[in-house]
Amino acid sequence: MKNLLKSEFRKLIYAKSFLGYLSGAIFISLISSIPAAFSINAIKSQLNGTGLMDPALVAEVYGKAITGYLFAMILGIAIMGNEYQNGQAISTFLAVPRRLNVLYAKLVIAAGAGIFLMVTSTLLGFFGAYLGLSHYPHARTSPTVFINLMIAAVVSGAVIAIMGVAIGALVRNVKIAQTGAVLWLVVVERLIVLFWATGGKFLPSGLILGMMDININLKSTKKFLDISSSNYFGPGISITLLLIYAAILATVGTRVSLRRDIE
Amino acid sequence: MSIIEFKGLTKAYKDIVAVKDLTANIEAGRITGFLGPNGAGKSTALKCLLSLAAPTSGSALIRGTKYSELTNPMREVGAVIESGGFNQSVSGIKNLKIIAAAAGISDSRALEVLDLVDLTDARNKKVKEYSLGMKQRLSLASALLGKPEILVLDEPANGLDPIGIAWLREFLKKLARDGHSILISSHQLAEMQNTVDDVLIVHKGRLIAQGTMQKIVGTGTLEEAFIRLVEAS
Repeated sequence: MKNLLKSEFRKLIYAKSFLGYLSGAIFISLISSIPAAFSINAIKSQLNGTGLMDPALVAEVYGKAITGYLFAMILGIAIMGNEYQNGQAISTFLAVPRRLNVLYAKLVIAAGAGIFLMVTSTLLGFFGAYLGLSHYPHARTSPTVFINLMIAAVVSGAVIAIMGVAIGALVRNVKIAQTGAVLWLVVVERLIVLFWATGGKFLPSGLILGMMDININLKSTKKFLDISSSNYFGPGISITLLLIYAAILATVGTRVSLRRDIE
Repeated sequence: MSIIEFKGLTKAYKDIVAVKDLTANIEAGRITGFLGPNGAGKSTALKCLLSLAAPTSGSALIRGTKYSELTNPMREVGAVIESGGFNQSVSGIKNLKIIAAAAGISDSRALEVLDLVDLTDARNKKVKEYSLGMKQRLSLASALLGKPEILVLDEPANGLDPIGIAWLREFLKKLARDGHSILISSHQLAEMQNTVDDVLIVHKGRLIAQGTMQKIVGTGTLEEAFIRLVEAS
C-alpha cells in the first residue's frame, strides 16, 4: 500500500492540475467571503435591522470561506476519471492488478488532497472575511466560529473529495462528471432549498453548513433574501450523514470499477 | 515448457464474440508472433491474459497463474498495450517514476530503461511532444522496468516508420538473445516473418494455425500462408 500511495501522490503533484484546483478553491473562497460583510450590511434593513451586530450573521460571513468545496469535488473526480480517460489505468493495473488496493490508495490520496485544498482555501477565505468585517468595528464574532469552520473544512475536504472519486469511477467521462457535479452543487441544491427549505439539511451543502453550527433564521420582505439555517442538523449529525453519503458512493463506485474492463 | 497458456478462452461483449475458445501454449525462450488482421481478437486476448479484461469463459495463465494473482507482476511480465497508458501532460521520466513507485521499483531503474530505449535525451519532454515511435519506445521502457523474463507486446510496431521498425526488430532480437520470452501481436505479417520463431494466427476470434514459423510458412511467405489459412477457415 505504501508503494501505491507514493505512486498516486506522484500522479497528483506531477500533473499540476492540482494547483489549478487549489487556485480555483482559493479564488471562489475569497470572492465569496470578502464582499459578504458588505452585502449583509447593505440588506440589513430588509433583515432584522441588527446586521453585523448579530454574531450568527458574522458567522455566516465567515462561513462563506468554505465555498471552495466545489473544487474538492472536481479534484476527486479528476483523480479517478483522468486515470481512465488518459489510459493511465492500464499502466496502473499492470503494475498492481489488485484493483481494490489501487482504489483504496486513490481514496486516501483524494482525502488528503481534499483536506489540504479545503484548509488552505478556507484559511484564506477566513482572512478575506476578516478583512471585509474590519470595516465594521461593531461586528461581533463568536469565539467558536474559527474552530467550527476548520472542522468543517477538514471533514468536507476529505468527504467531498472521496465522493468525487466515487463519481469519477461511475461516470467514465471526466468533463461530464465534473459539469454534472458543479451543476448539482451550484444550481440543483439551491433550487431544492428554494422550493423545499426543510430538505436543504439533507444535501451536502446543507450538511457542510450544519457542521459550522450557524443558527440563523431571518425572514426578509423578499423571499430570496431569507437567511435560514435554524432547521439544519448540528455538527455531529451533519458529519455522520456526510460520511454515510461518502461511504455509500465509494462502495458503489468501487464495485463498478472492479467489474469494469480496462479499455 | 509453456510459460503462457490460453485454455478455452472466450471473451464476448454483449452479442459480439471477440475471442472464441482460444487454446494455445507459448514456449519459454522464444519470440512468438500472435498474428491476425485488425479486429481478430488479439488485443482482447492479451487484455484477458493481463487481467485488464475478465474472460467470459476459459482462462489465460502465466506459469499456471492468473496475472492478477502474481506476487510481483511487473518483475515477471513486462507488457505493452496498444493504447499506451501514459499521462500525456507529464514527462516521460515522471510517467515511468509513477509506474515504478507503484511496483516498488527504484527511480534509478527508470533512467536505466530510458537509456535502453534511447530516450535519455527526451526524458524531460512531455509525452504529448513525443513522436509515435518515441511513445512506443517509452512503452517498451515501462515494460522493462521490473527486469521481467516474459514480455507481452501488443502491436509495438504500429505506426512506426521503417527506421523505427528496424530499431524494434533489433531490440527484440537482443532481448531474445538475453533470454526473454516474448509474445508479440501484430498485423504486419512481412515484418513478423523476420522477427518471430513461433506463430499463432487468429481470425475472427478463432485460432486458425499454430506452429513454428517454418512449419506455417513452408516455402512461401507468411502473407501467402496467412491468406491460404484464412480462406481455408
